[in-house]
Amino acid sequence: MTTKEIKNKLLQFLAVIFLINGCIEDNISPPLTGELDSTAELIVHFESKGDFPNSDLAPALIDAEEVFSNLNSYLIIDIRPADEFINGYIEGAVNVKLDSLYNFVETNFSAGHSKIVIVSKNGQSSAYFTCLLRLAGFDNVYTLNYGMASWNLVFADEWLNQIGDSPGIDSYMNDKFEKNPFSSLPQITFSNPEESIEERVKSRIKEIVSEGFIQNKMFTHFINTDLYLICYGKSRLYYASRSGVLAERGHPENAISYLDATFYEMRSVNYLQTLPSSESILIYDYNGQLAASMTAYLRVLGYDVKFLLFGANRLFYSRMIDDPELISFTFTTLLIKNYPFTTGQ
Amino acid sequence: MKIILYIFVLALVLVIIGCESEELLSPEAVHVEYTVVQAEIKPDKLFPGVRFTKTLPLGVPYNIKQAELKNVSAYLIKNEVQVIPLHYTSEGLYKSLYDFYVREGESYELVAESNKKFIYAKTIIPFKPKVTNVYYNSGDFYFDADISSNLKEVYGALWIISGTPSTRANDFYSVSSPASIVNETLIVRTSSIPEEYRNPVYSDNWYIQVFAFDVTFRKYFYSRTSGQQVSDPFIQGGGAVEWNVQGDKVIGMFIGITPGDIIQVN
Repeated sequence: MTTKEIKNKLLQFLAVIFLINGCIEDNISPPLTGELDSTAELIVHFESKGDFPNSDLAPALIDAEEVFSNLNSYLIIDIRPADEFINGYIEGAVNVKLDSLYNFVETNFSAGHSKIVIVSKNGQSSAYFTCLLRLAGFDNVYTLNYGMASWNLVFADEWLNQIGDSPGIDSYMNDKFEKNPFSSLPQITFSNPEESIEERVKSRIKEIVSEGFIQNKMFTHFINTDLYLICYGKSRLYYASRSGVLAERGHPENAISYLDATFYEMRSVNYLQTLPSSESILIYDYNGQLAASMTAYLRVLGYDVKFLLFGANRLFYSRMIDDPELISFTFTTLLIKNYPFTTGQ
Repeated sequence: MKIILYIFVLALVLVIIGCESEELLSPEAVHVEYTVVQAEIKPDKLFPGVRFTKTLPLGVPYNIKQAELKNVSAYLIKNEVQVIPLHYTSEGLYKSLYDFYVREGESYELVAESNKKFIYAKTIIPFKPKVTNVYYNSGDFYFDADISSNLKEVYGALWIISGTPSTRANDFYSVSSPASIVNETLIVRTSSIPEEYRNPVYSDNWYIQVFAFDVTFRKYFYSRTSGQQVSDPFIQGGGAVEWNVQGDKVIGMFIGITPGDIIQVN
């Protein structure tokens, strides 16, 4: 090898060294990127505030007796349409439209009222909005149990007309239908993703309030329905006893049991995510009030949910009256207090 | 030839310069804060929670009140789908609002955000180790165990000398490689038992316990300083420790551990 050749070889060697030199320090892992799931963030937030819909506080009912005894200290918000309101309302009640309900409660939350009572005709839309307001952090909001129907017989017509047994009751059964497998949460897109979780929750709840009251009066849909049908309540609401009225006529075909307190099967740690995020869901409970509360929560999370107005009171009332475990959830004339009311503007 | 030597030395110098770190510590060096994540998750027990703390500057005595992080948004993803929120309780410990039991074979992902930093970790809860044989090595005075292994698990073993009180090894001697097939027999050994218990008269007091770990534990074990307490695996003595928690300036272990039965060695 000549000197020139050696020099060339060394120059090539140097070039390789330069290349290696430039690469040695570059073996750095890319930074981890990612973000929290929006719906999961909502659940984290609601749980951090006590998880109202899955606690024994829900659906935050308050009886007519207590409201009547505290007319001067409770703020009573009547959310019925104005034409219904002027035909009769609790003394001192304020008629608030749904589109201004959130702001009204926010303004009056710290005004010194020991309780804020939401009043509707039958106690179900009020339970729905009470849950939304509780989720927003207004922890002194309650719903008048059975609504104006418990205040005076004048307002109880719908409740008294709805109670009874379903025409399809003969097809009800005690068979158990399994919950769906666990699946992903619904995906929510916040319009204000850069804001704090408190601000995002506020705008999300305002959005759901603005959608109005979600309900389902068509209980005949229980037959041959494609809905994911949920019976939300204790085991006895799902299974009828082997003897007595409507023996073994427990629930419609395909109804799936989700237990309420004390098992709280809708909690995140239990079976919340067995609810399908891509199907419509229909919930029935005892009398519509607990289901209304749960429906509000699930709608905030992005589920497509409705509930059955008047609950099992319109499905198998005679069985409920006959069952010591269910009778306390039935509407009867004994609940109607016939308290005085005011009319006009 | 002088030229050749000159070029060779120059090349060597370039390599050394290229490899040398230019980050020099000075007395004015700014403390780099790390987020520290700790969780040891065992089956058939309630989920213990995840601890989020931060490192403190040199010279600052460790104080959990100063080190704890209170504003972490965090949740678990169980079995790749079920979201379970975590909430601050005290001393940096984040737990679920409702207790739940951890089971073998479940996977848990930790998803969190602290000071705009995203944090992620995943672990699988190992199955209870299936020990098929145990032996005493009379030459080097340690115990061996044959394990019928599962995939994605690694194993370590501790010696135990029964008595009042009983004595046990401070640390694992080694951690096995993961098996390549299910039910492959792996051998895992303990460190040598103390000299005072090597006499066969103590043989009735010789026991071994095998632990199964999520596979990520192995890299951590071999990258940390050896000789730490097994009950306190998060302490390290420096060096590039391979943690299984990911994130910018985040260190820690979020790890599934399943202790096996304590087995007598005869």
